[in-house]
Amino acid sequence: MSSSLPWPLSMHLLMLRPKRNGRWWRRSLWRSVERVMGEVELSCLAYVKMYLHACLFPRCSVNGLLLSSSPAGGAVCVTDCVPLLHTHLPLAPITQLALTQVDVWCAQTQQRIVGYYQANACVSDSSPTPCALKIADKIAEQCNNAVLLMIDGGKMSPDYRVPPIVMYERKDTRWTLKDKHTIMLRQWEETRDIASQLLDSGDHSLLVDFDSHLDDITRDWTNQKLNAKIAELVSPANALPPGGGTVSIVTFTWSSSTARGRQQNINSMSINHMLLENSQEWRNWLRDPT
Amino acid sequence: MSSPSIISAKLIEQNVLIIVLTEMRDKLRKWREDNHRNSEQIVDVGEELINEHASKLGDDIWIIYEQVMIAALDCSRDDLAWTCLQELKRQFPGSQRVKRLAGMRLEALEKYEDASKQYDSILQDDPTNTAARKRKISILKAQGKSAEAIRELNEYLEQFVGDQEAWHELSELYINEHDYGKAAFCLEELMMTNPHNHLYCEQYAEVKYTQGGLENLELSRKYFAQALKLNNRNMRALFGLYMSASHIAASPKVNATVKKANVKYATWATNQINRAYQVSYARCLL
Repeated sequence: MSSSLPWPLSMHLLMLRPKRNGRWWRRSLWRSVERVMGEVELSCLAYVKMYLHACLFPRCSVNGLLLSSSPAGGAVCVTDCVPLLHTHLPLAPITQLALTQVDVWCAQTQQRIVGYYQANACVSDSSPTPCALKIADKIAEQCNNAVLLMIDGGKMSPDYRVPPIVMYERKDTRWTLKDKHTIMLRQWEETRDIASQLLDSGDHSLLVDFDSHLDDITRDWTNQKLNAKIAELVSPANALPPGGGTVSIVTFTWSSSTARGRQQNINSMSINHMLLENSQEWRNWLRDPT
Repeated sequence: MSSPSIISAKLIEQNVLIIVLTEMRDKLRKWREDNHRNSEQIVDVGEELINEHASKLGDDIWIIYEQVMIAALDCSRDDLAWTCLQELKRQFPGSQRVKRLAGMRLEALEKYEDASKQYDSILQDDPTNTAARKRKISILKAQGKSAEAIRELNEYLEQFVGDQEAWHELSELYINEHDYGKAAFCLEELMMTNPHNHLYCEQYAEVKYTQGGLENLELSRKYFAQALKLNNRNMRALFGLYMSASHIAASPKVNATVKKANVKYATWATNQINRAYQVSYARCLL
Protein backbone atom coordinates (compact mmCIF):
# COMPACT_ATOMS: atom_id res chain seq x y z
CA MET A 1 0.00 0.00 0.00
CA SER A 2 1.95 2.99 -1.16
CA SER A 3 0.96 6.13 0.60
CA SER A 4 1.21 8.17 -2.57
CA LEU A 5 -1.43 6.25 -4.52
CA PRO A 6 -4.86 7.82 -4.30
CA TRP A 7 -7.41 5.18 -3.47
CA PRO A 8 -10.50 5.07 -5.64
CA LEU A 9 -13.78 5.58 -3.92
CA SER A 10 -14.92 1.97 -4.33
CA MET A 11 -11.78 0.61 -2.70
CA HIS A 12 -12.27 3.11 0.05
CA LEU A 13 -15.82 1.95 0.69
CA LEU A 14 -14.68 -1.67 0.55
CA MET A 15 -12.24 -1.03 3.34
CA LEU A 16 -14.90 0.62 5.41
CA ARG A 17 -17.19 -2.36 5.46
CA PRO A 18 -17.76 -3.48 9.05
CA LYS A 19 -16.38 -6.78 10.25
CA ARG A 20 -18.50 -9.32 12.09
CA ASN A 21 -16.73 -9.09 15.43
CA GLY A 22 -17.09 -5.34 15.51
CA ARG A 23 -13.39 -4.73 15.00
CA TRP A 24 -13.93 -2.48 12.05
CA TRP A 25 -12.10 0.33 13.78
CA ARG A 26 -8.84 -1.39 12.80
CA ARG A 27 -9.64 -0.42 9.26
CA SER A 28 -8.37 3.04 9.95
CA LEU A 29 -4.77 1.83 9.72
CA TRP A 30 -4.44 2.85 6.07
CA ARG A 31 -2.85 6.21 5.57
CA SER A 32 -3.77 7.65 2.23
CA VAL A 33 -7.37 8.68 2.36
CA GLU A 34 -9.74 9.76 -0.30
CA ARG A 35 -11.55 12.22 1.86
CA VAL A 36 -15.24 11.90 1.29
CA MET A 37 -17.89 14.45 2.11
CA GLY A 38 -19.40 13.87 5.53
CA GLU A 39 -16.38 11.99 6.88
CA VAL A 40 -14.98 12.97 10.21
CA GLU A 41 -11.53 12.07 11.40
CA LEU A 42 -10.62 12.36 15.04
CA SER A 43 -6.95 12.79 15.82
CA CYS A 44 -5.15 11.13 18.70
CA LEU A 45 -4.51 14.47 20.39
CA ALA A 46 -8.18 15.48 20.33
CA TYR A 47 -9.42 12.11 21.57
CA VAL A 48 -6.86 11.82 24.37
CA LYS A 49 -7.56 15.30 25.70
CA MET A 50 -11.32 14.76 25.61
CA TYR A 51 -10.92 11.45 27.40
CA LEU A 52 -8.62 12.92 30.05
CA HIS A 53 -11.01 15.83 30.56
CA ALA A 54 -13.86 13.41 31.23
CA CYS A 55 -11.63 11.40 33.59
CA LEU A 56 -10.37 14.45 35.44
CA PHE A 57 -13.91 15.43 36.45
CA PRO A 58 -15.72 12.12 36.72
CA ARG A 59 -18.52 13.52 38.86
CA CYS A 60 -19.40 16.52 36.70
CA SER A 61 -20.67 17.12 33.22
CA VAL A 62 -17.83 18.43 31.11
CA ASN A 63 -17.78 20.03 27.72
CA GLY A 64 -15.37 21.47 25.22
CA LEU A 65 -14.81 22.48 21.64
CA LEU A 66 -13.36 20.50 18.74
CA LEU A 67 -10.90 22.31 16.51
CA SER A 68 -9.49 21.66 13.09
CA SER A 69 -6.39 23.06 11.47
CA SER A 70 -7.20 21.71 8.02
CA PRO A 71 -8.97 23.97 5.50
CA ALA A 72 -12.73 24.04 5.13
CA GLY A 73 -14.44 21.86 2.53
CA GLY A 74 -14.52 18.09 2.21
CA ALA A 75 -14.01 15.90 5.22
CA VAL A 76 -13.66 17.30 8.71
CA CYS A 77 -10.41 16.50 10.46
CA VAL A 78 -10.53 17.23 14.17
CA THR A 79 -6.93 17.92 15.15
CA ASP A 80 -7.29 19.40 18.60
CA CYS A 81 -9.82 20.13 21.30
CA VAL A 82 -10.20 22.77 23.99
CA PRO A 83 -11.76 21.59 27.26
CA LEU A 84 -14.12 24.29 28.49
CA LEU A 85 -16.25 23.79 31.58
CA HIS A 86 -16.95 21.35 34.32
CA THR A 87 -19.45 23.41 36.33
CA HIS A 88 -22.76 24.99 35.39
CA LEU A 89 -22.71 24.12 31.75
CA PRO A 90 -26.16 25.67 31.07
CA LEU A 91 -25.12 29.12 32.34
CA ALA A 92 -24.34 31.67 29.67
CA PRO A 93 -21.65 34.18 30.71
CA ILE A 94 -18.64 31.89 31.02
CA THR A 95 -19.67 29.85 27.98
CA GLN A 96 -19.92 33.01 25.88
CA LEU A 97 -16.60 34.26 27.19
CA ALA A 98 -14.91 30.94 26.48
CA LEU A 99 -16.36 30.72 22.96
CA THR A 100 -15.16 34.23 22.16
CA GLN A 101 -11.67 33.61 23.50
CA VAL A 102 -11.32 30.30 21.67
CA ASP A 103 -12.60 31.93 18.49
CA VAL A 104 -9.97 34.64 18.63
CA TRP A 105 -7.23 32.14 19.46
CA CYS A 106 -8.27 29.96 16.54
CA ALA A 107 -8.16 32.90 14.16
CA GLN A 108 -4.61 33.59 15.25
CA THR A 109 -3.45 29.99 15.03
CA GLN A 110 -5.15 29.17 11.72
CA GLN A 111 -7.65 26.78 13.24
CA ARG A 112 -11.40 26.74 13.20
CA ILE A 113 -14.04 25.45 15.59
CA VAL A 114 -15.67 22.44 13.96
CA GLY A 115 -17.52 20.78 16.77
CA TYR A 116 -18.50 20.44 20.37
CA TYR A 117 -18.15 17.59 22.82
CA GLN A 118 -19.84 16.87 26.10
CA ALA A 119 -19.76 14.13 28.70
CA ASN A 120 -22.78 13.95 31.00
CA ALA A 121 -22.38 13.41 34.72
CA CYS A 122 -25.06 10.76 34.62
CA VAL A 123 -23.32 7.75 33.11
CA SER A 124 -26.48 6.04 31.94
CA ASP A 125 -27.59 8.96 29.80
CA SER A 126 -25.39 10.02 26.92
CA SER A 127 -27.97 11.90 24.90
CA PRO A 128 -27.28 15.57 24.06
CA THR A 129 -28.69 18.05 26.56
CA PRO A 130 -30.52 21.20 25.41
CA CYS A 131 -27.48 23.34 26.14
CA ALA A 132 -25.31 20.99 24.05
CA LEU A 133 -27.72 21.35 21.15
CA LYS A 134 -27.76 25.12 21.53
CA ILE A 135 -23.99 25.48 21.47
CA ALA A 136 -23.70 22.99 18.61
CA ASP A 137 -26.28 24.98 16.64
CA LYS A 138 -24.21 28.11 17.16
CA ILE A 139 -21.11 26.34 15.89
CA ALA A 140 -23.01 24.92 12.92
CA GLU A 141 -23.89 28.49 11.87
CA GLN A 142 -20.20 29.11 11.22
CA CYS A 143 -19.13 25.66 10.07
CA ASN A 144 -21.19 23.53 7.70
CA ASN A 145 -20.00 20.10 8.73
CA ALA A 146 -20.02 20.74 12.45
CA VAL A 147 -20.21 17.68 14.66
CA LEU A 148 -21.65 17.10 18.09
CA LEU A 149 -19.82 14.46 20.05
CA MET A 150 -21.17 12.87 23.22
CA ILE A 151 -18.82 10.80 25.35
CA ASP A 152 -20.56 7.69 26.55
CA GLY A 153 -19.52 7.24 30.16
CA GLY A 154 -20.99 3.76 30.28
CA LYS A 155 -18.38 2.49 27.81
CA MET A 156 -15.39 4.01 29.55
CA SER A 157 -14.45 0.90 31.51
CA PRO A 158 -10.76 -0.11 31.82
CA ASP A 159 -10.98 -2.82 29.17
CA TYR A 160 -13.14 -1.05 26.64
CA ARG A 161 -12.49 -1.92 23.03
CA VAL A 162 -14.62 0.57 21.15
CA PRO A 163 -14.19 4.34 21.32
CA PRO A 164 -16.77 5.51 23.87
CA ILE A 165 -18.14 8.25 21.63
CA VAL A 166 -21.42 8.93 19.91
CA MET A 167 -21.35 11.44 17.10
CA TYR A 168 -24.18 13.53 15.73
CA GLU A 169 -24.35 15.59 12.57
CA ARG A 170 -26.76 18.24 11.49
CA LYS A 171 -29.28 17.23 8.85
CA ASP A 172 -31.77 20.00 7.99
CA THR A 173 -32.30 21.55 11.40
CA ARG A 174 -31.94 18.48 13.56
CA TRP A 175 -29.03 16.65 15.01
CA THR A 176 -29.07 13.02 13.97
CA LEU A 177 -26.77 10.12 14.71
CA LYS A 178 -23.87 10.01 12.32
CA ASP A 179 -23.19 6.91 10.29
CA LYS A 180 -20.42 5.05 12.13
CA HIS A 181 -18.75 4.22 8.85
CA THR A 182 -17.87 7.84 8.32
CA ILE A 183 -16.04 8.28 11.63
CA MET A 184 -12.35 7.50 11.74
CA LEU A 185 -9.69 7.22 14.37
CA ARG A 186 -6.24 6.41 13.11
CA GLN A 187 -4.33 3.83 15.11
CA TRP A 188 -7.09 3.37 17.62
CA GLU A 189 -5.23 0.90 19.86
CA GLU A 190 -2.28 3.23 20.17
CA THR A 191 -4.54 6.17 20.99
CA ARG A 192 -6.30 4.15 23.63
CA ASP A 193 -2.98 3.06 25.14
CA ILE A 194 -1.70 6.62 25.28
CA ALA A 195 -4.86 7.74 27.07
CA SER A 196 -4.58 4.90 29.62
CA GLN A 197 -0.90 5.59 30.15
CA LEU A 198 -1.47 9.25 30.90
CA LEU A 199 -4.35 8.39 33.21
CA ASP A 200 -2.33 5.82 35.14
CA SER A 201 0.66 8.10 35.54
CA GLY A 202 -1.58 10.86 36.91
CA ASP A 203 -0.70 13.20 34.05
CA HIS A 204 -4.37 13.88 33.45
CA SER A 205 -4.08 16.46 36.24
CA LEU A 206 -1.93 18.51 33.84
CA LEU A 207 -5.04 19.18 31.76
CA VAL A 208 -6.39 22.69 32.21
CA ASP A 209 -9.89 23.56 31.13
CA PHE A 210 -11.32 27.06 30.91
CA ASP A 211 -12.98 26.76 34.31
CA SER A 212 -9.65 25.86 35.92
CA HIS A 213 -8.04 28.77 34.11
CA LEU A 214 -10.56 31.16 35.67
CA ASP A 215 -9.80 29.69 39.09
CA ASP A 216 -6.10 30.32 38.56
CA ILE A 217 -5.25 32.49 35.56
CA THR A 218 -1.63 31.40 35.46
CA ARG A 219 -2.78 28.04 34.08
CA ASP A 220 -2.80 27.68 30.32
CA TRP A 221 -6.13 26.59 28.81
CA THR A 222 -4.50 25.80 25.48
CA ASN A 223 -2.61 22.98 27.24
CA GLN A 224 0.69 23.38 25.39
CA LYS A 225 2.55 21.27 27.93
CA LEU A 226 0.10 18.41 27.72
CA ASN A 227 0.05 18.64 23.92
CA ALA A 228 3.83 18.27 23.90
CA LYS A 229 3.62 15.26 26.23
CA ILE A 230 1.04 13.56 24.03
CA ALA A 231 3.06 14.35 20.91
CA GLU A 232 6.05 12.60 22.48
CA LEU A 233 4.03 9.45 23.02
CA VAL A 234 2.47 9.41 19.58
CA SER A 235 4.50 7.34 17.13
CA PRO A 236 5.39 8.78 13.70
CA ALA A 237 2.91 6.37 12.07
CA ASN A 238 0.06 8.26 13.66
CA ALA A 239 1.27 11.67 12.56
CA LEU A 240 -1.16 13.62 10.45
CA PRO A 241 -0.36 14.12 6.78
CA PRO A 242 1.20 17.46 5.79
CA GLY A 243 -1.41 20.16 5.75
CA GLY A 244 -3.24 18.59 8.68
CA GLY A 245 -0.55 19.36 11.18
CA THR A 246 -0.90 20.24 14.84
CA VAL A 247 -1.33 23.71 16.25
CA SER A 248 1.19 26.30 15.20
CA ILE A 249 1.76 29.15 17.63
CA VAL A 250 2.10 32.64 16.30
CA THR A 251 4.43 34.59 18.51
CA PHE A 252 3.48 38.08 19.53
CA THR A 253 5.62 40.84 20.78
CA TRP A 254 4.08 42.36 23.83
CA SER A 255 5.05 45.74 25.10
CA SER A 256 3.49 47.46 28.06
CA SER A 257 3.31 50.80 26.29
CA THR A 258 0.99 49.28 23.69
CA ALA A 259 -1.38 48.06 26.38
CA ARG A 260 -1.44 51.35 28.28
CA GLY A 261 -1.72 53.54 25.24
CA ARG A 262 -4.42 51.42 23.66
CA GLN A 263 -7.75 53.15 23.27
CA GLN A 264 -10.22 51.59 25.64
CA ASN A 265 -13.28 50.52 23.82
CA ILE A 266 -15.81 47.97 24.84
CA ASN A 267 -15.65 45.87 21.73
CA SER A 268 -15.22 42.36 23.05
CA MET A 269 -12.69 41.49 20.35
CA SER A 270 -10.28 44.12 21.67
CA ILE A 271 -10.27 42.74 25.18
CA ASN A 272 -9.71 39.29 23.83
CA HIS A 273 -6.75 40.47 21.81
CA MET A 274 -5.32 42.15 24.87
CA LEU A 275 -5.81 39.08 26.99
CA LEU A 276 -4.43 36.84 24.31
CA GLU A 277 -1.34 38.98 23.94
CA ASN A 278 -0.70 38.62 27.63
CA SER A 279 -1.45 34.94 27.71
CA GLN A 280 0.58 34.33 24.55
CA GLU A 281 3.71 35.54 26.30
CA TRP A 282 3.11 33.16 29.10
CA ARG A 283 2.51 30.28 26.81
CA ASN A 284 5.86 30.97 25.17
CA TRP A 285 7.44 31.25 28.58
CA LEU A 286 5.69 28.12 29.85
CA ARG A 287 7.01 26.17 26.91
CA ASP A 288 10.54 27.34 27.47
CA PRO A 289 11.13 29.07 30.82
CA THR A 290 14.77 29.99 30.23
CA MET B 1 22.18 -6.80 74.31
CA SER B 2 20.88 -3.71 72.59
CA SER B 3 23.41 -0.93 72.36
CA PRO B 4 22.45 2.71 73.01
CA SER B 5 22.64 3.46 69.30
CA ILE B 6 20.08 0.80 68.49
CA ILE B 7 17.75 1.99 71.25
CA SER B 8 18.02 5.58 70.11
CA ALA B 9 17.48 4.52 66.49
CA LYS B 10 14.30 2.72 67.55
CA LEU B 11 13.13 5.78 69.48
CA ILE B 12 13.75 7.99 66.49
CA GLU B 13 11.85 5.56 64.29
CA GLN B 14 8.90 5.59 66.67
CA ASN B 15 8.89 9.36 66.84
CA VAL B 16 8.97 9.63 63.08
CA LEU B 17 6.10 7.18 62.88
CA ILE B 18 4.07 9.24 65.35
CA ILE B 19 4.72 12.39 63.34
CA VAL B 20 3.70 10.67 60.11
CA LEU B 21 0.56 9.30 61.76
CA THR B 22 -0.42 12.68 63.17
CA GLU B 23 0.08 14.26 59.77
CA MET B 24 -2.10 11.71 58.05
CA ARG B 25 -4.78 12.06 60.70
CA ASP B 26 -4.72 15.83 60.42
CA LYS B 27 -5.01 15.65 56.67
CA LEU B 28 -8.04 13.41 56.92
CA ARG B 29 -9.59 15.67 59.51
CA LYS B 30 -9.06 18.74 57.34
CA TRP B 31 -10.63 17.02 54.34
CA ARG B 32 -13.54 15.90 56.50
CA GLU B 33 -14.18 19.35 57.92
CA ASP B 34 -13.85 21.12 54.58
CA ASN B 35 -16.03 18.50 52.93
CA HIS B 36 -13.57 17.91 50.09
CA ARG B 37 -14.47 15.28 47.58
CA ASN B 38 -10.89 14.21 46.85
CA SER B 39 -11.84 10.58 47.22
CA GLU B 40 -8.74 9.07 45.59
CA GLN B 41 -6.46 10.84 48.07
CA ILE B 42 -8.67 9.94 51.04
CA VAL B 43 -8.61 6.30 50.01
CA ASP B 44 -4.80 6.35 49.66
CA VAL B 45 -4.15 7.94 53.02
CA GLY B 46 -7.03 6.28 54.85
CA GLU B 47 -6.31 2.77 53.62
CA GLU B 48 -2.75 2.95 54.82
CA LEU B 49 -3.85 4.36 58.15
CA ILE B 50 -6.44 1.63 58.65
CA ASN B 51 -4.28 -1.28 57.53
CA GLU B 52 -1.02 -0.35 59.22
CA HIS B 53 -1.87 1.80 62.20
CA ALA B 54 -5.38 0.93 63.34
CA SER B 55 -4.32 0.23 66.91
CA LYS B 56 -2.70 3.64 67.40
CA LEU B 57 -5.70 5.70 66.38
CA GLY B 58 -7.95 5.17 69.37
CA ASP B 59 -11.53 6.31 68.97
CA ASP B 60 -10.74 8.33 65.87
CA ILE B 61 -10.74 5.10 63.91
CA TRP B 62 -14.53 4.98 63.64
CA ILE B 63 -14.95 8.35 62.01
CA ILE B 64 -12.04 7.53 59.74
CA TYR B 65 -13.75 4.29 58.78
CA GLU B 66 -16.84 6.26 57.82
CA GLN B 67 -14.87 8.81 55.81
CA VAL B 68 -12.81 6.17 54.03
CA MET B 69 -15.89 4.09 53.30
CA ILE B 70 -17.66 6.96 51.55
CA ALA B 71 -14.48 7.77 49.60
CA ALA B 72 -14.07 4.11 48.66
CA LEU B 73 -17.63 4.00 47.30
CA ASP B 74 -16.79 7.08 45.24
CA CYS B 75 -13.77 5.32 43.75
CA SER B 76 -15.53 1.98 43.17
CA ARG B 77 -13.39 0.30 45.82
CA ASP B 78 -16.04 -2.16 46.96
CA ASP B 79 -13.61 -4.31 48.89
CA LEU B 80 -12.41 -1.46 51.08
CA ALA B 81 -15.95 -0.14 51.56
CA TRP B 82 -17.15 -3.57 52.66
CA THR B 83 -14.32 -3.92 55.21
CA CYS B 84 -15.06 -0.51 56.70
CA LEU B 85 -18.78 -1.24 56.85
CA GLN B 86 -18.21 -4.57 58.62
CA GLU B 87 -16.01 -2.91 61.25
CA LEU B 88 -18.57 -0.20 61.85
CA LYS B 89 -21.45 -2.70 62.03
CA ARG B 90 -19.55 -4.73 64.57
CA GLN B 91 -18.84 -1.71 66.73
CA PHE B 92 -22.21 0.05 66.37
CA PRO B 93 -24.91 -2.55 65.78
CA GLY B 94 -28.34 -1.04 65.09
CA SER B 95 -27.00 2.46 64.50
CA GLN B 96 -28.93 4.68 62.06
CA ARG B 97 -25.73 6.26 60.83
CA VAL B 98 -24.30 2.85 59.92
CA LYS B 99 -27.58 1.88 58.27
CA ARG B 100 -27.27 4.95 56.09
CA LEU B 101 -23.77 3.88 55.10
CA ALA B 102 -25.11 0.44 54.19
CA GLY B 103 -27.74 2.16 52.06
CA MET B 104 -25.04 4.22 50.33
CA ARG B 105 -23.18 1.06 49.51
CA LEU B 106 -26.31 -0.39 47.91
CA GLU B 107 -26.66 2.82 45.92
CA ALA B 108 -23.09 2.51 44.71
CA LEU B 109 -23.92 -1.01 43.51
CA GLU B 110 -26.92 0.51 41.71
CA LYS B 111 -29.37 -1.53 43.79
CA TYR B 112 -31.65 1.46 44.13
CA GLU B 113 -34.74 -0.44 45.28
CA ASP B 114 -32.89 -2.06 48.18
CA ALA B 115 -31.24 1.20 49.09
CA SER B 116 -34.60 2.94 49.08
CA LYS B 117 -36.03 0.28 51.40
CA GLN B 118 -33.08 0.73 53.72
CA TYR B 119 -33.69 4.48 53.94
CA ASP B 120 -37.42 3.93 54.42
CA SER B 121 -36.69 1.72 57.42
CA ILE B 122 -34.49 4.46 58.90
CA LEU B 123 -37.27 7.00 58.36
CA GLN B 124 -39.81 4.71 59.97
CA ASP B 125 -37.76 4.68 63.16
CA ASP B 126 -36.89 8.36 62.95
CA PRO B 127 -38.99 10.52 60.61
CA THR B 128 -36.78 13.56 61.20
CA ASN B 129 -33.64 11.89 59.87
CA THR B 130 -32.55 14.37 57.23
CA ALA B 131 -29.66 12.26 55.93
CA ALA B 132 -31.93 9.42 54.84
CA ARG B 133 -34.32 11.80 53.10
CA LYS B 134 -31.48 13.43 51.22
CA ARG B 135 -30.15 10.05 50.15
CA LYS B 136 -33.56 9.16 48.75
CA ILE B 137 -33.50 12.35 46.70
CA SER B 138 -29.98 11.47 45.50
CA ILE B 139 -31.29 8.12 44.29
CA LEU B 140 -33.85 9.93 42.14
CA LYS B 141 -31.13 12.19 40.82
CA ALA B 142 -28.87 9.23 40.00
CA GLN B 143 -31.70 7.56 38.11
CA GLY B 144 -32.16 10.71 36.04
CA LYS B 145 -35.61 11.46 37.44
CA SER B 146 -34.91 15.15 37.92
CA ALA B 147 -38.55 16.30 38.01
CA GLU B 148 -39.29 13.95 40.90
CA ALA B 149 -36.07 14.85 42.63
CA ILE B 150 -37.02 18.52 42.43
CA ARG B 151 -40.46 17.81 43.82
CA GLU B 152 -39.12 15.76 46.73
CA LEU B 153 -36.47 18.35 47.47
CA ASN B 154 -39.08 21.11 47.53
CA GLU B 155 -41.13 19.10 50.04
CA TYR B 156 -38.02 18.53 52.12
CA LEU B 157 -37.19 22.24 52.12
CA GLU B 158 -40.70 23.14 53.26
CA GLN B 159 -39.93 21.25 56.45
CA PHE B 160 -36.24 22.04 56.81
CA VAL B 161 -36.00 25.59 55.54
CA GLY B 162 -32.54 26.24 56.94
CA ASP B 163 -30.71 23.48 55.09
CA GLN B 164 -28.26 25.41 52.91
CA GLU B 165 -26.84 22.35 51.21
CA ALA B 166 -30.33 21.44 50.07
CA TRP B 167 -31.04 24.93 48.71
CA HIS B 168 -27.82 24.78 46.73
CA GLU B 169 -28.65 21.34 45.40
CA LEU B 170 -32.09 22.56 44.37
CA SER B 171 -30.56 25.53 42.54
CA GLU B 172 -28.28 23.13 40.63
CA LEU B 173 -31.21 20.93 39.69
CA TYR B 174 -33.17 23.93 38.43
CA ILE B 175 -30.18 25.19 36.43
CA ASN B 176 -29.88 21.81 34.73
CA GLU B 177 -33.57 21.98 33.88
CA HIS B 178 -33.06 25.50 32.50
CA ASP B 179 -35.60 26.87 35.00
CA TYR B 180 -33.55 29.97 35.76
CA GLY B 181 -36.25 31.86 37.64
CA LYS B 182 -36.57 29.21 40.32
CA ALA B 183 -32.80 28.69 40.45
CA ALA B 184 -32.48 32.43 41.14
CA PHE B 185 -34.99 32.10 43.97
CA CYS B 186 -32.93 29.34 45.62
CA LEU B 187 -29.77 31.40 45.29
CA GLU B 188 -31.56 34.40 46.82
CA GLU B 189 -32.33 32.25 49.88
CA LEU B 190 -28.67 31.32 50.09
CA MET B 191 -27.50 34.90 49.73
CA MET B 192 -29.84 36.00 52.53
CA THR B 193 -28.34 33.53 54.96
CA ASN B 194 -24.76 33.95 53.68
CA PRO B 195 -24.40 37.60 52.75
CA HIS B 196 -20.59 37.43 52.73
CA ASN B 197 -20.24 34.51 50.37
CA HIS B 198 -19.00 35.88 47.04
CA LEU B 199 -19.64 32.61 45.23
CA TYR B 200 -23.40 32.74 45.77
CA CYS B 201 -23.50 36.37 44.54
CA GLU B 202 -21.54 35.46 41.47
CA GLN B 203 -23.66 32.41 40.71
CA TYR B 204 -26.85 34.43 41.15
CA ALA B 205 -25.48 37.03 38.75
CA GLU B 206 -24.69 34.32 36.20
CA VAL B 207 -28.23 32.95 36.42
CA LYS B 208 -29.68 36.43 35.96
CA TYR B 209 -27.39 37.04 32.98
CA THR B 210 -28.53 33.78 31.41
CA GLN B 211 -32.17 34.74 31.90
CA GLY B 212 -31.57 37.79 29.73
CA GLY B 213 -33.56 40.97 29.32
CA LEU B 214 -32.47 44.44 30.33
CA GLU B 215 -33.63 44.28 33.96
CA ASN B 216 -31.93 40.96 34.54
CA LEU B 217 -28.72 42.21 32.95
CA GLU B 218 -28.70 45.23 35.26
CA LEU B 219 -29.31 43.00 38.24
CA SER B 220 -26.56 40.64 37.12
CA ARG B 221 -24.15 43.55 36.77
CA LYS B 222 -24.95 44.67 40.31
CA TYR B 223 -24.41 41.22 41.75
CA PHE B 224 -21.17 40.71 39.84
CA ALA B 225 -20.03 43.99 41.36
CA GLN B 226 -21.13 42.80 44.80
CA ALA B 227 -19.20 39.56 44.36
CA LEU B 228 -16.13 41.61 43.42
CA LYS B 229 -16.57 43.77 46.48
CA LEU B 230 -16.57 40.65 48.63
CA ASN B 231 -13.61 39.12 46.80
CA ASN B 232 -11.72 41.29 44.37
CA ARG B 233 -9.86 38.32 42.91
CA ASN B 234 -12.92 36.57 41.57
CA MET B 235 -12.14 36.45 37.84
CA ARG B 236 -15.56 35.15 36.86
CA ALA B 237 -17.19 38.14 38.55
CA LEU B 238 -14.79 40.51 36.78
CA PHE B 239 -15.49 39.01 33.37
CA GLY B 240 -19.19 38.89 34.19
CA LEU B 241 -19.18 42.57 35.11
CA TYR B 242 -17.47 43.42 31.83
CA MET B 243 -19.89 41.35 29.78
CA SER B 244 -23.08 42.53 31.44
CA ALA B 245 -22.01 46.19 31.32
CA SER B 246 -21.08 45.85 27.64
CA HIS B 247 -24.39 44.24 26.79
CA ILE B 248 -26.35 46.95 28.58
CA ALA B 249 -24.35 49.70 26.87
CA ALA B 250 -24.89 48.04 23.50
CA SER B 251 -28.64 47.65 24.02
CA PRO B 252 -30.81 50.05 21.96
CA LYS B 253 -33.30 50.49 24.82
CA VAL B 254 -31.08 52.47 27.19
CA ASN B 255 -30.72 56.22 27.35
CA ALA B 256 -27.44 58.07 26.97
CA THR B 257 -26.59 58.45 30.68
CA VAL B 258 -27.05 54.77 31.40
CA LYS B 259 -25.00 53.93 28.31
CA LYS B 260 -22.18 56.22 29.42
CA ALA B 261 -22.19 54.77 32.91
CA ASN B 262 -22.04 51.22 31.64
CA VAL B 263 -19.23 52.02 29.23
CA LYS B 264 -17.35 53.37 32.23
CA TYR B 265 -17.97 50.18 34.21
CA ALA B 266 -16.92 48.00 31.29
CA THR B 267 -13.74 50.02 30.81
CA TRP B 268 -12.92 49.72 34.47
CA ALA B 269 -13.47 45.96 34.29
CA THR B 270 -11.21 45.76 31.23
CA ASN B 271 -8.44 47.55 33.10
CA GLN B 272 -8.80 45.29 36.10
CA ILE B 273 -8.71 42.16 33.95
CA ASN B 274 -5.66 43.38 32.11
CA ARG B 275 -3.96 44.22 35.39
CA ALA B 276 -4.81 40.83 36.86
CA TYR B 277 -3.20 39.06 33.89
CA GLN B 278 -0.14 41.29 34.03
CA VAL B 279 0.32 40.66 37.74
CA SER B 280 0.00 36.92 37.38
CA TYR B 281 2.37 36.98 34.40
CA ALA B 282 4.91 38.93 36.45
CA ARG B 283 4.52 36.44 39.28
CA CYS B 284 5.30 33.61 36.89
CA LEU B 285 8.53 35.29 35.88
CA LEU B 286 9.76 35.73 39.44
